[in-house]
Amino acid sequence: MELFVYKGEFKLPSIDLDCLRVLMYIKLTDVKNIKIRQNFSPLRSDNGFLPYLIDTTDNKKYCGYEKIINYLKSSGYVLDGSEKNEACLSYIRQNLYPYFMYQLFGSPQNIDDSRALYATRTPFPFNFYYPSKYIKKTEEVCQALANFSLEDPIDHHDTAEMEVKAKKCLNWVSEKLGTNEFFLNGTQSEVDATVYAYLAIILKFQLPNNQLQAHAKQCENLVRYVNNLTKKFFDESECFESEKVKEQNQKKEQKVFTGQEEDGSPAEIRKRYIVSGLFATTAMLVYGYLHGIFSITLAEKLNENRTTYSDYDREYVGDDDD
Amino acid sequence: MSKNSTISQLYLNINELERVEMGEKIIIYQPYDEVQILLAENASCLAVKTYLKMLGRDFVVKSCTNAEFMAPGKRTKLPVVQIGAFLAAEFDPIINLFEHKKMSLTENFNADDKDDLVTYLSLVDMILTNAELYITWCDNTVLNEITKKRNGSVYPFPLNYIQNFRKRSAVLKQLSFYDYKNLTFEEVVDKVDKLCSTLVLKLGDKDYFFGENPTELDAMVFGHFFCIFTMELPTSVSLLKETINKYTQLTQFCGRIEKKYFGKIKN
Repeated sequence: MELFVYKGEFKLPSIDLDCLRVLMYIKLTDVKNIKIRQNFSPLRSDNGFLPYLIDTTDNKKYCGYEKIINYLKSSGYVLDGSEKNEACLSYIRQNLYPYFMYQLFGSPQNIDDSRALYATRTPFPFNFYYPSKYIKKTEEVCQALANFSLEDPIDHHDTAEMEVKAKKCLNWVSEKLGTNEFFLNGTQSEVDATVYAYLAIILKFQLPNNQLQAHAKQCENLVRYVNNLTKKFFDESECFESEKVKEQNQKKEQKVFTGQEEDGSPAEIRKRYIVSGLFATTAMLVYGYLHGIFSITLAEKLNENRTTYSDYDREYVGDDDD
Repeated sequence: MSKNSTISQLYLNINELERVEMGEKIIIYQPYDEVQILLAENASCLAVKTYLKMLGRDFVVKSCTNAEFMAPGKRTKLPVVQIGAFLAAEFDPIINLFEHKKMSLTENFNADDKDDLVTYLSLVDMILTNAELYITWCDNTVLNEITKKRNGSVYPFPLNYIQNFRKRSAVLKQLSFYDYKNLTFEEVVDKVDKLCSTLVLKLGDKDYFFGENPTELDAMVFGHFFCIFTMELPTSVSLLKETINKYTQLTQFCGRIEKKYFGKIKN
C-alpha cells in the first residue's frame, strides 16, 4: 500500500487535518507494509485533495478520509471502538470543524500563512491551484452556516456562533478526556485519530491569529495528550520542521533573553535602503533610455550618426517637395 | 458589532433567556402541512412538537406561508417558536432554553449520559436531516414532481421559480458542507442504515433511549422517522423507507411514542 500525504511542519507528521487523521489511524491499528509518500501533488487524487491511498496489489485508489478508513477497516485493521464512535465524530464535525476551517482558511490574517504551507508542499504549476480548493471549501462552510462570504469585509464575518460552538467543543473534549491517555474511557478508538489531528493542528500551528490555540492551551490535558501521542506514535524522522520555522523559533527564544529586534541591526537597515535606492535608480534610467528620453552615444561614433541623420532629413524634405 | 460580539452575544443570549416568561403561551409557526411543507422541515417541526408534548406543555400551531423567513438570524430555519417575546428556531435553541430554565427532560442525568445525549443528537441530526434534504433536493424525480411544486405552491408565477432556485442552492451548500453532495443515493441510504443499527444497539429492550423516561433524543428520532414513514415518496427513493422498516425495534418505538403523545389527535 502507498499513502500520499502532505509533508509536516512544526514538528508534526503532516500539516493537513485528514492526512493526520489517516496517519494516526494507521499508527493506532499498526498497519504494516505501508509506504508513506510526501511531496506529491493532489493531481492524481480523484477529488483534488490529499490524502489518497493506492493498493499496490490491484492498483485501486481510495481518495479521502472516509474511503481510506473504510478500506482499511475492510482489510482487517479495525479498532474496537464502541458504538459511541460515530456519535462523537459527528459531534466534533458539527461543532469544531467549521470554526477550525474558518481559522485556517477564512480569517484574513491567517489565510496567507496557511496557503503558503500548502503551496510549498505542492509541485510547481499546481501550487497556484490546489491550496485555493481549501479556501473554496471554507467559503462553502461559511455560506452554509453563517451566510457570509469570505470576500465580504471582515465586519460581515459573523463567526460568533461558530466560535462559541468550537470552544464549547474543546471544553467537552478536555472534560471527557480527563487524565486518560485515550479519548473513549482510555481505550484506543477512531475518535483518537480525529481528536489528535484537530488538536495537533490547533496547538502546533503558528498563525498570526490563533484563537483556538489560546483556548486549547489553557486545558493542560489537551496539550499533554498531543505531546504524548506525537512522541509515542511518531519517530523524530517522521515529524518535520523546516529550517525557516526553526530559525523563527530560535529567534523567539532569543527574544526573551536579549530583547533583540527582529528587524535586524541598523547596518542591515542601511544596507536595505541603499540596495532599494540603487534598484529604483537603475529602473528609472533603463526606462528613460528605452523610451528615448535620453540616449547614449559613444563620442567617436557621434559624427557618423550625425551624417546619417542629416541624410535622412534631406531625403525626407526632398520627398515632400515632389 | 459582529466582530466583538462573541462574548457579548453569549451574554445577551443568557440575558435574553433569563427574561423569558415560561408561563406564556407557546406558538409554533410552520409552513402549511398539506400543500407546502417539505420532508426535512416537517421532521424538525414534529421533533419540536414531540419534545414540547413530552414536557407536558401546551402549544398552538400556526401555519403560515412565510414561516421560514420568520426565524431570527440570517439563515432560514424551521419551525419558529415564540414564547412571549422570545423567538427561537430549530431544535437546539429550544432545548437550550428549557435546559436553562431547569425544566428539561434530562435534569437528573449524570455527565456520561449527558455526553451521550449530546453526541447522539448531533449524529441523528446530521445523518437524517442531510438524508432528507438529499432526497428532497437531489433526487430528480422527487425534485421535479414533489419538491418544486410544493415549495413553489404558495408563490405567484415568476417568484416560484426564483424561490425554488434560491432554496435549492442554499440546500446544496449545506449538503456540500457535510460532504453529502457528491454521494449516490445508495451511499446515503447506507449511512442511514448504519445509523439505524447504532440506534438499535443504544435502544436495546428499553422503552426509550435512556431508560424509562423520554428525552430529547427520543423526540428527535421520532420526528424524523415518523415523517419518513408517513410522507408519500415516489418509488425511486422508497429504499430509504424500507431500510428503516427493517429495524422492527425502531418502528415499534415510533409506534409507542405516537400512541402515547399523539394518539388522541389521530383519532
